[in-house]
Amino acid sequence: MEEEGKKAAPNEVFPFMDAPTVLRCKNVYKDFKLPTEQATGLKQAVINWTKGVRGYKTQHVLKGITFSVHKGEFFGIVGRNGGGKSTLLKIISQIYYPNKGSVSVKGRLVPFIELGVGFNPELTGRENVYLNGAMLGFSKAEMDAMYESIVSFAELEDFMDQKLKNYSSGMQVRLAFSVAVKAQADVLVLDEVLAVGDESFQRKCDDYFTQIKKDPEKTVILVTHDMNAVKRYCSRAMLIKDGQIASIGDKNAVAEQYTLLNLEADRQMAAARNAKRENGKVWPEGLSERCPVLRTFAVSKPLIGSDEKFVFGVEYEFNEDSDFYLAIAINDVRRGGITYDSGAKTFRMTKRGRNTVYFSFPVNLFNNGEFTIYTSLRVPSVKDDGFTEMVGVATGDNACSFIIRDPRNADYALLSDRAAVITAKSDDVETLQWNGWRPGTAQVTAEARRREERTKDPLERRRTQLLERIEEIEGIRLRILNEAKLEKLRKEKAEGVERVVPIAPGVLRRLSGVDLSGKVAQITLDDVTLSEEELSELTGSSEEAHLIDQLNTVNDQIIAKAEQEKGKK
Amino acid sequence: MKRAHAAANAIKPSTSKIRRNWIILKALVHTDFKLRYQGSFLGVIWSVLEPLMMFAVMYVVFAKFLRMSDGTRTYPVVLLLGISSWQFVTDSTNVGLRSIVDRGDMLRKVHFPNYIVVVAATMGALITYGINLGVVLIFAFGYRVHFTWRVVLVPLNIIELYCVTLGLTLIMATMYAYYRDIAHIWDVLQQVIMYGMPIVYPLSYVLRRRGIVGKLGKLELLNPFAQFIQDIRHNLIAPATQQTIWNLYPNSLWYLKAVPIVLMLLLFFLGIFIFSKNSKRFAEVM
Repeated sequence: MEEEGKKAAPNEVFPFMDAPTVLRCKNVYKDFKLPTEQATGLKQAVINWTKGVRGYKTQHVLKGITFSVHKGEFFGIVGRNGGGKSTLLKIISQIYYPNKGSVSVKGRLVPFIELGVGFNPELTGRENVYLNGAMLGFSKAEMDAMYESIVSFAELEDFMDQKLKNYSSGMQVRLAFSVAVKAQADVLVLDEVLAVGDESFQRKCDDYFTQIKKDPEKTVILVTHDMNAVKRYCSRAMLIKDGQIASIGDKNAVAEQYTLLNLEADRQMAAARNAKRENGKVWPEGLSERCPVLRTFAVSKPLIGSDEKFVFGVEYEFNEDSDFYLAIAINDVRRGGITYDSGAKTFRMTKRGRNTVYFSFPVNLFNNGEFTIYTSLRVPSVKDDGFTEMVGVATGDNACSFIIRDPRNADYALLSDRAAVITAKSDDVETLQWNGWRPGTAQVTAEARRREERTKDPLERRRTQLLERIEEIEGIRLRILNEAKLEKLRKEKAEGVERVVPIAPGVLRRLSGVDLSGKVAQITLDDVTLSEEELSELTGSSEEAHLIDQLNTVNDQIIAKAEQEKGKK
Repeated sequence: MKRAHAAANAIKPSTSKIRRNWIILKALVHTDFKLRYQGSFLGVIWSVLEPLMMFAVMYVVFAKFLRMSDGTRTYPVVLLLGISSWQFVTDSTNVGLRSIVDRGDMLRKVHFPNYIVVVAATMGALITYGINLGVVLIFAFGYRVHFTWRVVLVPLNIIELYCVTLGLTLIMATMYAYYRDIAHIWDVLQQVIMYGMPIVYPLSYVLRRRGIVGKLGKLELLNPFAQFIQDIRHNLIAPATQQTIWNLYPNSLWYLKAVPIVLMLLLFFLGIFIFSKNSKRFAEVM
């Protein structure tokens, strides 16, 4: 299957790829004529025609889209606004027709460009359901059979005979979605319909999608801006940029590329906003006559793994006589703050005029994140040679962003485990593995420690053993005690004995499993005291006392030994 | 369990395209009818009351006041029939030409053949026409009209009238999508056509006039609308006195007799052609 557009993960196998194709787009082109002057009346049209004004300009919305969707897939289409997603969807739904290329669909395709198409506010809910069903091709008999399930899914049993204009927007959306869901399409096409609706509706959608994701008979094509939805439901995804496929394949990779695109766009917008005017020329923010060019650009891919070094270049132009330096700062976009700064006078440039230099930065120390590199060009300060003055800075469009993604990394903190880990110093802390990744020297487990312990002093070993055993017995004893108290309470309830217990103010405790309604409010096991006889009935452990004696003996021995050593020294 | 669940919900809609279009057509007509007299007190009765009131006004003004009767006993029935028939044409065209644009939001969101919308509008008018024909028949019985064998031809005439109306509506609906002026142009044109037809006045009145007016009177019947409505009147009510192109022109001018039918076929196929050519662009233009 030939597919254009960069494959996000070329060697990955996706589910459902060997199922038959339900949708195939081949080389689809779509242009729109945008009227520059509206001619809705004959008079205007004639005037325009006589003036020779063409009245429109051609906008190329789709420029050669080729892809296919297989049966059972949950296919996501993402892209920035204006990229051509909705147009592509309308072409797939046969609402628009392509100027060039072909679209073929096998099976019934039901598009939901907007929920509740054809809903007429003057008709009742019931009439609207039947009308909507008719629009999709269901006869009245077929709709009769589905009606009950539609209404129960929408949870609108009591409102079906009210006019639709009296429904709240949430109810309308629920009804529309319910009809869409029951429509039994082979291919369901949804255009950002998840964006509306309250939380419970979102949950309904979520349930439905997770269920449908597993169904090999149903294909869903979803257009959305919500990357979480893409990551949750989609089996495969596609990114459309400027009318062409920028990436197709693994949903996580596509989601990340979309994030990157948005980052770029944000920067461009900020740069445009901050453009300065100087000497009749418009300088982008940070540049000036003294430093007309300063640009940081990526040499490595902007999406890198932790093992790679991020290689970037800086292009500058500086024609003055003095020494000049490049200071490079790396800003953490996700967490905020400057992660690394090279220093003002670290890199001195030797070549004047226009030049490009390259740097590399290892990223193994960081977890996943998004970073931007800001370079500034500095000269020694006129007042004090020890300090520098900034002549130009590469920000906005001239800065460079990169994203670190590695399966070994976490997402929250900045430093990865390979940079540094916290080592526990107390015995009471048991260190388990960090994030599944075992760095060479820093791994410590209770097992290893115990192994260490065993090679040590036999007295220490004995002590540890005793402590552990005593702990165990304590635990058992406590359990038995609690059980006895619980039993006592149950007996009291059965006998009808009332128990009045003062409740400590502000403390809320609950006893589950024993219902003490009535005068007694809430009591805890702590409030229950067992009498001497009851205590003696418990299968107490005399072993404990015995062990404590032993422990004391060992402790004494250890102390004596320590004194001896001290004495020796 | 999943299989059973799927089977329970496996009601698939009819796959046949024609059947699907028919379902949509029925739903649209049904909805239009329901909505037409929404909120009005008299409701559907208006579809009968409107032409009846028009008839009452025309009868009083033209027949009684201005004495423009054709002299026959059954003139009021003929007048009502003419008015109802023309009402069908105006209904169809006025609603139909706006139908594409009015349902623009649906066309932009769902795929279905656009012509169904126009056909639905004409069907709605046809149903109203049917109701009015019922009223006409009641009048006819009241006036003790003698029905002849020619009544059998009436359905054929109605089909002819429907075809020419549909053709014209399709053309105008296409034009309305691009230039809204067509609605206003048609408003005026409609009146011109109506007064150029022997509906409110009998044709004999014009023919009796001397000179060029009398001669031009015959040309009125070249208009397919006029001719078909006259045919309906002729075949249903008064074969003896209603003039149609068949009895007014001599056989030597057979080519003129074919003109209305040729015009009908021309409008019909032209309408279908123009509409289908532009149908794909409607969703984008609106």
